[in-house]
Amino acid sequence: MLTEPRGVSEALQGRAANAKLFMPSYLKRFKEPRPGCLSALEFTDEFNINQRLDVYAEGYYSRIHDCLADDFKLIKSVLSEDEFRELVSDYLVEHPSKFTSVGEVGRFLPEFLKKNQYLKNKYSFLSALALLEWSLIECFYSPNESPISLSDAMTLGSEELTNSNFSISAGTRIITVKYPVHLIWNDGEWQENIHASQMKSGQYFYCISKTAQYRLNVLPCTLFSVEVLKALKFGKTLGESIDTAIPLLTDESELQSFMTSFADWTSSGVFSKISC
Amino acid sequence: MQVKSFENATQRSVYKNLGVGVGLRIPHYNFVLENNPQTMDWYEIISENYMGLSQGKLGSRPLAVAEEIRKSKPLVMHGVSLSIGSVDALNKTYLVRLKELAERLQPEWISDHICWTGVEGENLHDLLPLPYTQECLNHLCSRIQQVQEILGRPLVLENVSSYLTYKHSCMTEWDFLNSLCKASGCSLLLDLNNIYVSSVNHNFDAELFLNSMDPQYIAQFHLAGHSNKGNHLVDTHDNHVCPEVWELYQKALNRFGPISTLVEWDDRIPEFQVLEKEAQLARGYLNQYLMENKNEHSNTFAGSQISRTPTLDEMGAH
Repeated sequence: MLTEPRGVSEALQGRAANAKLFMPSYLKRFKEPRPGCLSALEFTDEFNINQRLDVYAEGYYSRIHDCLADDFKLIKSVLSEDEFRELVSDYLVEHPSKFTSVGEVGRFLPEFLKKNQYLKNKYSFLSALALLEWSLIECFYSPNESPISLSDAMTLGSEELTNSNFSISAGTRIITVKYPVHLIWNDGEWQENIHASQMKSGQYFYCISKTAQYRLNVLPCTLFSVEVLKALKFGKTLGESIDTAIPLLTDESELQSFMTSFADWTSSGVFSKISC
Repeated sequence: MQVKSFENATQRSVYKNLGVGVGLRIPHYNFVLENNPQTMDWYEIISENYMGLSQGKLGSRPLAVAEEIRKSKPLVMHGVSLSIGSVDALNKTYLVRLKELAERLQPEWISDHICWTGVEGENLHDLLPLPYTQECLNHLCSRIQQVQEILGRPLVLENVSSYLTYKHSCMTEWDFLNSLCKASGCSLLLDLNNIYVSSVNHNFDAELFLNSMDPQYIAQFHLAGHSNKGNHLVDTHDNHVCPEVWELYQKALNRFGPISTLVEWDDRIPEFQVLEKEAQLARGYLNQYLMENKNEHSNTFAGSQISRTPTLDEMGAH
C-alpha cells in the first residue's frame, strides 16, 4: 500500500480501480493491497489511517523521486514535471529498490526507458541519455585512484610509449549509444531549439572518466579509439593495441588525430598506471 | 561466544562523550575540508553514502572526504538500511561492506535504527515502526546478536519517529527500548526530535518517555527539525530544532548527563554556518548543565569551545 504509485486512497479501493492493465509488471506486483491488514493499526479521527499511511507513501515516493531527479538531471530537463513524475512512478512499479543505498535506485532506468513506448516515441534518445548519466554515477562512485598525468606520459620516448602498458582506471567507462547525447551533457541541460535537430541516429562512442580532482569527463571516441582502449584493458601494449584496431581505421587522418585523443584521455584520468 | 564481551557495552563509559557535532552532508564537504571548523567536535556520516555502489569496491570521493576528516575529528557511522526489525534474512553482503567501511574509518561507534525498512528484498528507504511485543523483542535480540558478531562490536540503535502504531503492541515504546537494551546488549541513540514527533502523533507524554528511559543505555542524542502538518508532525530534518525539542534536550541532559550530541539537517540543507549556530545552541545547553553540576562532572568533556561558548542569552535561546 505504501508503494502504490497512485497513492494510498486509491490503493485502499482495490487494485482494479485504476490499474494500468497494459503494464503486466504492474498487476504482477500488486498482490497487495490487503486492506484487512489495516485492522492491526491504530488511528484517531484527527489523524486517520489514510493520512498516517500517506506519510510513509509520500516519503517513499518523494525520496526516490528526488534522488532520481538529482542523478538524472539531463533526463529531467528533457521531460515536463508531469512526465518525470509519471516516469518515476512507472519505473518503481517495475524496478522497486532492492538496494541498501537510495543512490542506486536508478541503475535500471536506461533499460527501462528502452521499453517505455510513449517516451521512446517522443524522445528517441532518452535511453541513451540515461545510460550516459548512469555511467557518470558509476564513474563517480568508483574507487579513487591517482590517475597518471599527461606529463608522466610525455616523459616516455616513442619506443617506450609503443611498448608501454596503460592500466585503465577503475572509474573509466566506455559506452556505445545511438544518439549524440554528449551534446546535451556539454550544455548542462536539454535545449529544444538546439538539441532536437542534433539528435540524429547513428553510432556514438564515449569514454567516461574522472580526474584526481573528481571532475567527470565525457570524451567522444571513434570505433578505432574504443578498440584501442579495449585492447589496452586486456593488457596489450599501446603499440599492440593500435595494431589490433588498425582494421577499423576509417582514414589516415584518424590515426594522426588519435595521439591527440590519447593525450586527452591521459589528462582526463582514463589511465591509472603506465608500465614499460 | 564473542557477543559475551559486549555485556558491558551498555555501561556509559564505553561511549565517551564526544561533545557536539553535526551530520556531515555533501554540500558541506568543501567547507569542512578547507576550514576544519573548530566549532565541531565530531561528525556523523550516513554509512550507506560512503559504501559506493553495491557491485563495486569501496573508495569513492565521499569516502576520501570522510577519511580526511577522520584524521582530525571523531566520526560515527549512522546507517539507514540495516532493517534490524525486518523478517527478511539479514543482508550479509551489506553487513560485510559496513564492516569494511568501519575498518577504513575507525568510527567511534556504529548506529542504525530500531525499525524495518522493507520486505521480500525491497527497500522502502524509510524507517517503519515495529510492534512493541515480546515476539518482536526476541526477534530483534537474535538479529542484533548476529549483527554484533559480524561487526565485532556493539551496536547503537535509534528510536524512530513514527506515524503508525499497532493494536497488538503490549508495552510502551520506552519499556520496549529498555527491555531491548537489557536483553541484547545494544545501546540507544536517543533522538529527542523523534520522541517529540511521535509524542504528538500518538498522543503520549514526551517527558514521561524520557523519564522512563534507563540512563545506563543512552549512548548518544540526536537533535533535528521537523514539519508541522497541522494534525501531525513529520520528521523532515529540514528545519531548526524547535523550542519544545530544546526543552526536551535540557531535560535529557538533567536526566542522562552529558552525552554526545549531534544535530541533523538532511533536506533544504543550509549553509554550514547555520548548522554551526544550531550546534552552538546545543553546546550552550550542555555547558549550562555542566556549570550547574560542576561537582559531579569536573572532568567531563564539554566540547572544544567550552572556554569561549557564548551564554544562551547571548545566542538568543530564550
